Amino acid sequence: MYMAEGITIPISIFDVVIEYSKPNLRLAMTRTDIVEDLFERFSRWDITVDDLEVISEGKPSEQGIKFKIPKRQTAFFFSAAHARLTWDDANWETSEETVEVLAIGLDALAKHGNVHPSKFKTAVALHLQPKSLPFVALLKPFASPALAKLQDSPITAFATVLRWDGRRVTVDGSAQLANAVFLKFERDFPGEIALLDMAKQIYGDEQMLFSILGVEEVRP
Amino acid sequence: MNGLLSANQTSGYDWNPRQGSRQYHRQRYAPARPAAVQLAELADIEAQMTRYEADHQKMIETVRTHYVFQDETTVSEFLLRHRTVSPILTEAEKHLRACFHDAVIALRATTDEQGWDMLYATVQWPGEPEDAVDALNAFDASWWLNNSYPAGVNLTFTYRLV
Repeated sequence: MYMAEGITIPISIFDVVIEYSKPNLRLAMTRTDIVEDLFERFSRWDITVDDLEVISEGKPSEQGIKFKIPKRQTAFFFSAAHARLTWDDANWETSEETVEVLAIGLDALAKHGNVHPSKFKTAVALHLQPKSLPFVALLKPFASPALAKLQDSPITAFATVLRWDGRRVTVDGSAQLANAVFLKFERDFPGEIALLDMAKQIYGDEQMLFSILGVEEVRP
Repeated sequence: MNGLLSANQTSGYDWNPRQGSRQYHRQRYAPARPAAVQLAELADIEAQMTRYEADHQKMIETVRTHYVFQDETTVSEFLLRHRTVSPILTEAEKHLRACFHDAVIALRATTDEQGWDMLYATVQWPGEPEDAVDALNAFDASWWLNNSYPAGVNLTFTYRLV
């Protein structure tokens, strides 16, 4: 009888880049209003002035303001051309709170910069640590048999990347943990999508990939 | 580890409480102040940033009057990246003079293959090696060990026999 391999997920990251329908240079010049507004609204997560970083290096589109929310291990950055939210230790149980952080950021951008999302480029990166199998056993079924036969010894590592228009999946060994698989799945969404619909789709993608990999999350 | 496609499989953020760069330096934590108080400090953030930049440039010019930049570009870039180092160098100068007198002090910035930055403040010592060792020990004991914390681990005072 087929049994999914139990895994833990010691490292999990959610990242979303929000591309604006058109850039607004006001967000690169006069930022006091939006910074104050975001600071006020993010202060429910106990941020301090030290959690605010002015990025003044790189191309103009890369310069902006970054808010770090240590309590949520979340960072929200905005520039004149795009915004970005990065969430470490991502988990579905508290995802609504991160959706709230994102909603606050988008609302402030619309209110003070009159910018609206044209595209959400999302990525989830997970390090999956199997409970009993070696990580390569999870990867082996995806290696081409013809290539695997090149050498008469077991495969020690394997990686693959699949890309479609607006979607990408990466499966690799973990560069951070011993005996772990690195799974990253990326998907683009249109700017008008509801955030909860986006979350549902990402959850569906995760479950589908877990099923294909033959793994099931086990809480430590 | 076993990553084939990329070694960078993290977000790049470190959310752990900051570790002391020296074990014997204690960390002090303070609770967040009320949002209204902190917002008042942000009221003129653009002007603050402009003033901060001007002050820092002035500080680098002060450093330039006390030290010889071995490579203008790399040292200036280091001081821009590590904003706490210029005030320390300025303050250190009189303590170095007390120990090394009129010796020339050169600054050299390096970056290793891992991207780790280091600035060496090297006293060009024309005298006996033992005297240089004694002077460096005196500098460490009288000032540097008690004031090294803000520099993190990116600044080293040393000497070179000339």
